[in-house]
Amino acid sequence: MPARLPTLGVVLPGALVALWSLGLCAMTAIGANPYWAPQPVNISEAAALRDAATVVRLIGRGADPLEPHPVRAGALFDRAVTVTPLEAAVAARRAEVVDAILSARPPAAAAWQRAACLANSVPDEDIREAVGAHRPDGVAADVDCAGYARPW
Amino acid sequence: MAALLATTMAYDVWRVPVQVYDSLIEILDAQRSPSVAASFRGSLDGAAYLRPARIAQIKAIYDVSGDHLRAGYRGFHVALLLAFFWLFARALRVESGRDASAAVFALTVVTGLHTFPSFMREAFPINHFLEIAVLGLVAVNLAQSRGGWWADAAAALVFALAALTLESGLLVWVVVAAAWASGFRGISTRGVVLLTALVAGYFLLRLEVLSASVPSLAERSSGFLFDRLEPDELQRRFGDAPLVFYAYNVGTSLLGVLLSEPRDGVFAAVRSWLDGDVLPRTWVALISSALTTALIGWAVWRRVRQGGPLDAADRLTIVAAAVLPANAVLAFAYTKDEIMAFAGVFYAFAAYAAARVAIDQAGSLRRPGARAAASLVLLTMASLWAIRSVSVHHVMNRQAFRVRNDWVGAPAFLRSEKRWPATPAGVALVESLRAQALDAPVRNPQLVPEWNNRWFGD
Repeated sequence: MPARLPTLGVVLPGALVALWSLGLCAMTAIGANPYWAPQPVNISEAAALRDAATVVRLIGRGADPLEPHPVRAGALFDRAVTVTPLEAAVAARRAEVVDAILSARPPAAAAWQRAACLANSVPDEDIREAVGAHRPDGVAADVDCAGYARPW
Repeated sequence: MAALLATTMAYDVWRVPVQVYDSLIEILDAQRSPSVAASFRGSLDGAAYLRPARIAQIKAIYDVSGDHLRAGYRGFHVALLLAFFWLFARALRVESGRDASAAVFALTVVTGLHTFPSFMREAFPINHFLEIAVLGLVAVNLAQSRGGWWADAAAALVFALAALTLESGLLVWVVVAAAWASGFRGISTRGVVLLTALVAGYFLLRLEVLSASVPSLAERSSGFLFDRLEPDELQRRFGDAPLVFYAYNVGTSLLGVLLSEPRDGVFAAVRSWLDGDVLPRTWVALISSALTTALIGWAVWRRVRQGGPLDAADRLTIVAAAVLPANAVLAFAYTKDEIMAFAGVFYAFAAYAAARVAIDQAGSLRRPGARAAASLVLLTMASLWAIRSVSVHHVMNRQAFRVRNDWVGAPAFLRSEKRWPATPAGVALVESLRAQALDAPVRNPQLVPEWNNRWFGD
């Protein structure tokens, strides 16, 4: 056995990798591959977690981007919050997700004005630009946000 | 082990949507092209690169795939990956328990090296880096075969396909020549001469087709010391002395394979150390590579001192010694880990040969303490490579998440590039691929505990 110690040193870690790979094959077969099994998220959580693709997919399937949903603790803040997808994207400072939401469901005048006030409430020029790019025709760029309070 | 790694990693590749950048426009071009031959010829007109086989392959897979483009391109990628593992394992010529142990180690090295994800992560829409590596491995296997006219002919075909796909395909000639010089005679002297003539023909064709033979500094950004420099900065610093920049690229490319630092020409680990935040995965990469490169150097020194006839593993080390610098020279214009991925495969061959020597030498140590100490070093080294190998799945999940999200902005990207398709068929193609990507279930890496990102990655 002592003479085989070097062989064990070389082969043991690789054998564990092979065992892990075998386990992955088995887990894949039952749909539980830890690298690929998606964890369910609602549309606001997807927005908070930079997952613009899921946001767009859910809107395409009828989800309302103006409806608030709970976002788990740790995704945006240490505590759980209930926010709309747009609010989640702004809170996460993800301009591309903001753009994805507003592209997937172009806002009406009132909704855009609320979005503009939300964007103005955070110090992020990219967010303001993303919201500004979706301003409906005929709506003034200057929005009166007096009395607006962001939800977090 | 090779089959298990191949299966799990092929599954990773399969789960990644067709990518947008460097891929979608090529697919749209393939849709517009009337035939494979037209794609081949068209790529020669006013081309900046001599890569007609690359464009022809994209068109061929487009034609074969019909309405199943994702399956076609990803299926081809999976097939290349399976071929890669089969050819790599076959080239090791395992004949004993010691060989098998060293082969297990070599498989973790080849998959764990930071250049390996280049074979899996991206596809344009074919991963040509992987394709060239597979062709290089075919050349190794041909050189190890019993030979005959068919082996020479196959080597010539392999070289032609590789060279006309990517510039790094020229490394197939280096493999064949070094294999012949090391004593592999599957490809005969006549075959090597034929391939050498093809190399000359390639350069003549290049001169005929391409106006500029050397890429200029203004073409793309590149790493230098601790930063990436934009083309104008490169021009400002090295416009009068490009050779200095080229020498840096060659040197850092070589060093990158041997020590996993620098990456893409940037001394990222040193920069992290100066910033006081070196990730565990960086230490894993640096220590594993340093130990393995030292082991390879020691094993070569032992074998040279020992003398005697060369076996197959010794010859693989000789081929690796030729391929590494040759690959680094090809990266002279700008350095990138993907370009060095070919050399990474041959580094693993050298690691295989070194592990065999280490097992023999450490096993024959008379003092139990010395044997235990040597075993502990080997165990540490192999364990670090195992961590790096397992990281590939993590890297691929992140890549799939990134690619899937790229599709959200794909229409805007095409419009900004003025490449939004003008035909209903083109629009349908984009919309179909986008819908498939958005529907693809991909785990969100943000939901993974943070320690994963610190320990696993490339």
